[in-house]
Amino acid sequence: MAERKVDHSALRTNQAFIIGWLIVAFVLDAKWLVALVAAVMLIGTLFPKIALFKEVYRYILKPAKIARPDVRVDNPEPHLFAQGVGGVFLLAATLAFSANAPVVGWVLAWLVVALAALNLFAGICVGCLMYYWFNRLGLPGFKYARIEIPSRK
Amino acid sequence: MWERILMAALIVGAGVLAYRLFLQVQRRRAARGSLARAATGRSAVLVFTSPTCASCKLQQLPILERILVDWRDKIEVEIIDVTERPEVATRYGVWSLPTTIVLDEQRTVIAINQGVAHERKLREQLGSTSAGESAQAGEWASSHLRASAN
Repeated sequence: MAERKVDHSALRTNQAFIIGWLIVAFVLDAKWLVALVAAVMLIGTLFPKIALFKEVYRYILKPAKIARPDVRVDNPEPHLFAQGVGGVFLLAATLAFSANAPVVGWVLAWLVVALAALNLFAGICVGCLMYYWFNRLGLPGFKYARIEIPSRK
Repeated sequence: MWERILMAALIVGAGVLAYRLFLQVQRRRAARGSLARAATGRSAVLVFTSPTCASCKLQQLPILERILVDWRDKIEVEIIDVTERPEVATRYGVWSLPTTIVLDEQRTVIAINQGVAHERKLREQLGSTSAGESAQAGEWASSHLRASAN
């Protein structure tokens, strides 16, 4: 079976943009920006090839050598799931803003910032942990288990 | 807008503080865990891994192998599989993989690295121990001799 690989630099770029844009949205009280980030995350989850922030990494940062590839043996699906969960949280935040509940909306947005920061700075992907937990429970759609690497003798 | 900038700074600051406090708690826990180990007169690197940790096997362990090429007699490396020895992981407060814990000769925790610890960082951490200092002196002497010979 071919090795499954993920460029973790692309993931980190994605997380950095999410954190940055959400903080900017909060400072400017630009609720539309939260909706935009939600759309980027959800579209990127459903159609990974057009994930905007990862495309910035691929076509701008990587060729300009601002970011170096960090390709690792890994499953892409848990990371996509994590992004999707973040997108759903931001969609809920957008709906909260529409329902005139800005405090709820900003709490949800900051929760996404916190989870993205935990992933970016501590390497803890909560969404990935959820994915593998659902895989162990045998839920449909969560078909990839953690990749086991045999020890070298 | 200035109020919102201040609020954002406070929220981010609180998050950073909470994370640092968490790491402090983990460090204290690791320090208590390290006291259970007998001092051997050598610095040590504890590497926490698991069968499903790809970055442990494909990145962290090769980095340690390269370090051991120079420092084999000065440091000891212990690989701890958290699925086989979960009590050790709990004792040291390990919550992510790979985690490397650098101990000096007195079993004092020098550093705790969450995620893959790159070679340069590990060498700097080990270099701050007296075993590391003598290893680095040896490296300098070897490279100086090579340069003189050339």
